[in-house]
Amino acid sequence: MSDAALAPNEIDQFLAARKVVVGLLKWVSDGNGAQRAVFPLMIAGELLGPTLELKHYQSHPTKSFGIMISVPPVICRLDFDYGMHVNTDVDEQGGMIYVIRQPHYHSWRDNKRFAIASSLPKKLPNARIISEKIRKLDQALRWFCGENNIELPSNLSIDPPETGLLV
Amino acid sequence: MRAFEDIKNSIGDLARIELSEGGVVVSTHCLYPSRGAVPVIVRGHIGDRFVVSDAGGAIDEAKSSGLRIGNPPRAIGHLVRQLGLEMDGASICSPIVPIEAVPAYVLIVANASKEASHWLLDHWKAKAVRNFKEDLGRLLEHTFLKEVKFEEKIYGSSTKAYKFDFVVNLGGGKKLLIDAVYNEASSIYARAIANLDVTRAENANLVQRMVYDDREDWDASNLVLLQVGAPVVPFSEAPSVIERIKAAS
Repeated sequence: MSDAALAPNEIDQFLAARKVVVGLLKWVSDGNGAQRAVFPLMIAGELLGPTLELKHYQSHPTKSFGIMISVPPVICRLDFDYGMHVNTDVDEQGGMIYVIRQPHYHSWRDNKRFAIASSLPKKLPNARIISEKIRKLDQALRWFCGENNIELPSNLSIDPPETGLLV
Repeated sequence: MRAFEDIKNSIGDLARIELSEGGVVVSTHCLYPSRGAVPVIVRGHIGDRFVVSDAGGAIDEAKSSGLRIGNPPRAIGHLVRQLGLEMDGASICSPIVPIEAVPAYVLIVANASKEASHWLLDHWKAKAVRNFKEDLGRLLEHTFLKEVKFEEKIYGSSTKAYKFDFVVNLGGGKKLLIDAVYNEASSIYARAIANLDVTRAENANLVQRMVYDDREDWDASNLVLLQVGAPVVPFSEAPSVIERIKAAS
């Protein structure tokens, strides 16, 4: 949809704007062993295309869940993953390390250098470790939303999908 | 057994009986949607006969949830009569009965009051939602006065024609197309496809919005699907969004 397409130079402004999650949570299978839930993000009273997406992995050897914003494409992502991730073009002075083996966050700030003038990066190669205090989906989501100026409705309950009760 | 006595006493507290000016008030085990217990009042009639009433409790419960019910007998009379009860103004009442029948009618009236309040909340809320398109029309007419047209045909990229609920002339050849979308699969699919097809026609003179009634609970997935077609606006945000579109035109 043309209204939703954002250019790289518009992403900072998009992330800085107040965004509100709307709608009720509904987990569905993604057909690849994970469950997905997607919410539209309301900005200035309108739902223009960007979404907040959650993924939950129930039988993956290293991953538990992921949280991302898609405009599309995905512009930032939190991976609660104990597998190995290797960063590209590391900014060592900024505290980034080459190899990560614990939950991490691919921020737009660390990845916007991979955008070219007219298009957003297809991948987000760089990530940083997140606080070890973040252990659960609900905690991670609230931290992620705080980082990206996203408001969660006070009555929204973010529970992982229940095994055997998936749509 | 002490636990038995404790339980018996605590359950006994649920069904209190108190004397009031108008009769004997019995607090029952039935619950209104607000989770308050349903009380009924037993009033003496001629001789040893009585009337059990909810004293307008079902209607009060619905009103406290924001529903406007002008004619209570018309609103719930049909439900009440099915149970052999009557309406007296806003109150659900038993027939005039002997003392032996009072306990049964306490239960019947309390249950009827509870069920009527639930029915009012479900049914009248749905009615409010059905009026959402009219509410949206009024908002547009208030903002754009006579520039609003109803159910105008617009052609999509496929050359198929779609009827849009409201088409507003923004001046300079520009038009604002607004659809009211209901929380039903058929409405969601039809409006998403119509708006997508019109978007793909790439007519720079058309501004599209779909408005949904956010007084209802919507699955996030349905809203994500809708925004594939055109920008989506919750009804509660529509006044400010429409004013903004008007100011920009």
